[in-house]
Amino acid sequence: MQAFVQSTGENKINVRQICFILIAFNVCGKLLLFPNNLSYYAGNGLWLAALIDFAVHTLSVWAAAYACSKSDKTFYQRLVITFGKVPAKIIFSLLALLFFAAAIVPINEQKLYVQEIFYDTIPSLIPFLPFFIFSIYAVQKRFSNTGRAADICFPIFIACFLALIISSFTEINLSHLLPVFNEPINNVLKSSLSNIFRFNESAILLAFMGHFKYKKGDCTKITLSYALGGVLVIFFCILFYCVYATLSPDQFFAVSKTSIFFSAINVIGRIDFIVLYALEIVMVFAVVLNLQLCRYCLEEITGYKNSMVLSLAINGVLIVLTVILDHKFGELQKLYGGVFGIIIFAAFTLLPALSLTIKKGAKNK
Amino acid sequence: MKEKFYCLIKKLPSLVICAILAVLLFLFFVNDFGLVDIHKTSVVMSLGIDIDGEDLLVTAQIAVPQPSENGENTSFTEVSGKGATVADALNEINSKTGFYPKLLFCRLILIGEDCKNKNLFELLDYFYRNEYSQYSALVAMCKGKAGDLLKKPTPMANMTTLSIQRILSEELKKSANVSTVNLKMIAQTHYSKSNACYMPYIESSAQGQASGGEQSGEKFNSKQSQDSENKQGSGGESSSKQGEKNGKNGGGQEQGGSSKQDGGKGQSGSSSKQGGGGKQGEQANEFTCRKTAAFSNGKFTGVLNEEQAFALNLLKNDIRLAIVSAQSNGKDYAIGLRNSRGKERLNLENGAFTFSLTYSAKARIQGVTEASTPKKLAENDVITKDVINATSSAIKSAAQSLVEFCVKNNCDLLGVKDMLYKFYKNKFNVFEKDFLNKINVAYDIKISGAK
Repeated sequence: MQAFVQSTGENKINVRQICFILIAFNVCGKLLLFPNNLSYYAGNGLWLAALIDFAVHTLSVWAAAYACSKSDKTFYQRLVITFGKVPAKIIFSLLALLFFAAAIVPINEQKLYVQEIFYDTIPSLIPFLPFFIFSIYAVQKRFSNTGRAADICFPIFIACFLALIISSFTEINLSHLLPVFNEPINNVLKSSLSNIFRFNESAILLAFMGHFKYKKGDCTKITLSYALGGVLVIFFCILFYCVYATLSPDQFFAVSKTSIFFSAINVIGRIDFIVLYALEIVMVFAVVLNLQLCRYCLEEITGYKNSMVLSLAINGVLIVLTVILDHKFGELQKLYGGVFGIIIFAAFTLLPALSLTIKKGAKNK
Repeated sequence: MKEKFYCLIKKLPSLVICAILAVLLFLFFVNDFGLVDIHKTSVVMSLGIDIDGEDLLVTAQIAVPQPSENGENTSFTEVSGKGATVADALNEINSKTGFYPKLLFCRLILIGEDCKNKNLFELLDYFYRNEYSQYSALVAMCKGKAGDLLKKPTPMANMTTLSIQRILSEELKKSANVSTVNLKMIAQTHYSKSNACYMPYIESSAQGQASGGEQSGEKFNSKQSQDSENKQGSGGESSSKQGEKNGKNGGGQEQGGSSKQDGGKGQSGSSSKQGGGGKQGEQANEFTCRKTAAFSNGKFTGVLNEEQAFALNLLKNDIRLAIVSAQSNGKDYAIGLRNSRGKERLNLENGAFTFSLTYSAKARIQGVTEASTPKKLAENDVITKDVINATSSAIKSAAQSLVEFCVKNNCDLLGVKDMLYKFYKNKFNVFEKDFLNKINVAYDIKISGAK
């Protein structure tokens, strides 16, 4: 037990930071291709498709938060207590794989975003590669660092998101949302399902389980924070559709598109880039979070504590995959938007459900 | 030995990071990360699209940054390319200039009159596909060839593009003088259920020898002086309309001097040519776009005259101050309209649809063909009922004329079908066909005094 306390002593995060992650990182991960992908099938019903995704996943987040309230053991420890070491390692391996798989699309999205928006030429893959230097450094860091990053990112996110909304407001036309429920429900569901692979916040909470001190009411705080993130994303989706209407499916990287009609841009130039660059900081931390958690899972499974080596290994595989998947984002999205994405989501949803059923273990002193 | 090994393992991450940094630095210095030297490139500011036989003729007005020790120094030139599509034509421009034209700074797309028979979205297809073109780029149609228009010297700016952008500005849009639209607005209205769109129709005329003033002519609301904000030229009254002159330049490759002009205010036509892209000896031109080109189903349907375009702008745009002419008691009034609000509504009553055009504004006399006295000027805000009625009927008549155009050409510029779909979706399939002919139109114009 003493060993556990020592191992997690420097790996602590607090509830405030978790809430920030569930708002800022959650929203930032869904500002690039999520809105236009939703509108592809759901049209002006994109908000409904997003609502379905968030409603389902909010339940999952609640389940994970509720499981956190039941014990101060980590998820891995509880799995060991319940199923034994080998099944626990198998489940955690699966979780590590899921976190890794969940990071692939966002990283490739980021790559395309950087190449298309921040460069006025078509650059090669090379300008994106420095991202992995940051990633190698960040992935080996512990949860306490993740929490500090969330503390720094949250105010940046709030300020930028507000600036983005304000600069987009002049261009919105709410009548584009009419008629309400225009698209058949099948299309809305198809839209929901094809983007559901982006929802893994409940699994993030499972990884944080036992690494934060649970107090009464934290479950509500965590769930509401996630729901607030959902509301912000849905709001942004609505705003995006009100700006672009039927052109939405073709508007990739929504976050960079809604404010380009802001009148000051015509006079001063792309001042919206200040906001986009600042948001990029948050997005980068959001993207590496999955890899950090993957590293954490591998550490728990192997017991190998040199996090830098694990980080190098994870990022090495990712670099190879990024090179292989260069110019294949369409295929990647098809893969994730299909059965594979649903499997990922199902696994991310089932694990919190599982966490409700496993043994709590004795309380740490 | 073991200690040394562990020490090395401990240092491994920093060593790896240093190695990666070294590789990146090397790549940066040998390849510039694909960055382009500004002195070796050019920036496409605007594109003109014309028809040349079976092909499209694309003319790009390009800003070429020049190395200079004395600050900003840019020259402008026009380069043309031909091809089956805009992309083909741009590729030819590429082969002529040695750089690939990126449209990141292309803020204006001009469509020549001869493109009338082509589908608009066939012409604009490239801009919607190309991830580097901005949806905020302005689109306009022009009388004559777009390429020729871009080559015309203008006293308003040292580049025709800037001069045209000025007359398509947001400020002018807010005065109901121009139907400014961008790529996004065009596509949005075209892909709506109305399937119609519009864009400003630019006309050019030679500027007189006197400094830039207004054009004379039979304009709907230009008998009176315009608000000074909206004037393109300052000071003088140019009266002599010297007819259109399609300034032919010998090829599109000229590169001229680069000295910037001071906005052309109060300058004569001849002096304005200095440094204006090497177009010495040509008559300076001024541009107006108070007419509007209308498209339905991507096809050109006609040009709205100034009266119709004014009504369209009043209803569709957020107007700050519009000037309308009204006649009362044998006098011509220029009425300024503020707090302008245009609204369209579609109502279903007794199985028939009524399309209501509601417009309200506060009126104030801006000018009158009568010598005034200080006392009368002090009562400027008191506007008589006769003048108000005359103003209302002028606006109503413009709106009626606009609706007539829409019905006659089956061109739903006012978005009536879109409203039918949005508010009466279940009746859309029944009424959609020939809908504009089936509806009743009600006009509700409310003009009141400013005080």
